[in-house]
Amino acid sequence: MKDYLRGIIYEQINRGLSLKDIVNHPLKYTELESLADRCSRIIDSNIQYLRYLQKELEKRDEDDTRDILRSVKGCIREVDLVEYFGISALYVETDDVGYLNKLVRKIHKEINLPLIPPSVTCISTKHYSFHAFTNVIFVPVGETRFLLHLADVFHEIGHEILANMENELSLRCVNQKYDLVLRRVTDYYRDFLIRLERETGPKRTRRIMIQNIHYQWKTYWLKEFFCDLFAIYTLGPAYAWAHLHLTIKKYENIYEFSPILPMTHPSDDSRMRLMIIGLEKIGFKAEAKKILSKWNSMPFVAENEPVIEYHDAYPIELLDTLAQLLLNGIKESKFVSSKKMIENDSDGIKKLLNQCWEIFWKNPEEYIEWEAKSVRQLKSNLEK
Amino acid sequence: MGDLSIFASRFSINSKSLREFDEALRYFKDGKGVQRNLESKMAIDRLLTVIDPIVKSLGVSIAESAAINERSVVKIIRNRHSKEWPIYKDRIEKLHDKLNSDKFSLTKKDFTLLNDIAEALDSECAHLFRRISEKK
Repeated sequence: MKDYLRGIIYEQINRGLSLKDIVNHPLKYTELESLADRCSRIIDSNIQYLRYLQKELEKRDEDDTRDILRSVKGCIREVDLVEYFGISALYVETDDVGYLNKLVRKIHKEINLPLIPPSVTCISTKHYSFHAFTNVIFVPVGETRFLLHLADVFHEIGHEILANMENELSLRCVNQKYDLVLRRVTDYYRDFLIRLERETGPKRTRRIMIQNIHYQWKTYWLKEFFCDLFAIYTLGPAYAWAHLHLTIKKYENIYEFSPILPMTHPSDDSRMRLMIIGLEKIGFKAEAKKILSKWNSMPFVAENEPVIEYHDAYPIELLDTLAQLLLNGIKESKFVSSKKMIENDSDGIKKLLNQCWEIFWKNPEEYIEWEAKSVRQLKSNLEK
Repeated sequence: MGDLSIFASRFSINSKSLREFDEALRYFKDGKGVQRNLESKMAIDRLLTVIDPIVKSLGVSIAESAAINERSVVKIIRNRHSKEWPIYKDRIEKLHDKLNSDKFSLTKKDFTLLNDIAEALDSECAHLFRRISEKK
């Protein structure tokens, strides 16, 4: 095993060095330099760690290498992730990639994001996603020609905040409020369990379900809810419209719920309800009413009904507390987050992404032409 | 909006915990740590970051904050040692008590147990890695 481990370590060091060699310097788009630097640092630290493991291996007996193998596997995983989600983004430096990165830079300034802006690449095989390891947002290749779903970039930036808020002083308020929400969620379900124990009759199944709901809130849902609210508070109604649009295109069941199986995302219905609460809290009351009315008229609302237990998962008071506390945190961290600030942004991306929905609803057919023209204009402005 | 972000975040946390756990394990393997000093305290903390939530979830509890996804790691350990589970569970609890005591030395059996725990966490990392890198 020692000989084989030696071979793997050599191979992996060589792979790391080769990956660094793939990136062409100077880069075509300076916006990607932070990504190149990040990839390089991750690869270097793994190469350094592998060299340390090489030395450590020599001290060991043949049957005493379990931890070395684990650590080598850890390095391999990290270098592979850099290759899949970092180097690949740097390898394809097309004009579309240049446009998306300039766009995110502009959003970064508009919302006052106190972090290095994430990089963007358009090689996603799914919808939008963010990779915290390399700090890259992945979008489908066609997105560079349209506007309606670009609102989702704001949600993905929310994931960047989540990934960094513990270690950034400027995000301390957001972090504190997030922790507070987490405690409120735990308090809520602890009280729920106490009440349940006082009831008569069998309760084991319900108790397990409540424990599962709590687990999903703290492990998955709160993160997604945070990102939704972040997008609502920094962009406004456009994000809720984009959620409605995506739901009508892809929905299976907006009240999806399982008492046992964990769901990584809260239901589409709960997300929309939270977005409506959030919009109302920053003054978009008329827009919230309009979006809710449109949502309620959709077939996915009329065709489905939630199971009774569903309501235990998304109580309105918890959603309201969450929306209020996170709004406080986002405001205290000095993000741009009020109706006035969003609307007063004369030539900003936020204004454009909200405007596109107004035009779309007025006349969807004419919208196509307006959108193409607006995208051309936007690209040209970003080049300046 | 995909699951990727969530799994990537869990992967990062678990990978960091695993690396630190293994570094702590090597620290004690070198025969250090009998004396309570800052260095050995740090190494113990790194082991307990992983072991604490495991021990908590051996009973029924809602652990509010855990550096690792305790459910999956415990499940992996339980599956791997299902035949001797009551004894094995007891050994984990005893090791946990030992690490929390003022003075201790680790036996060969303790190191085997620590390696088993780390391997369960490694499996969880491998699982998360697959989730974030697979094509659907």
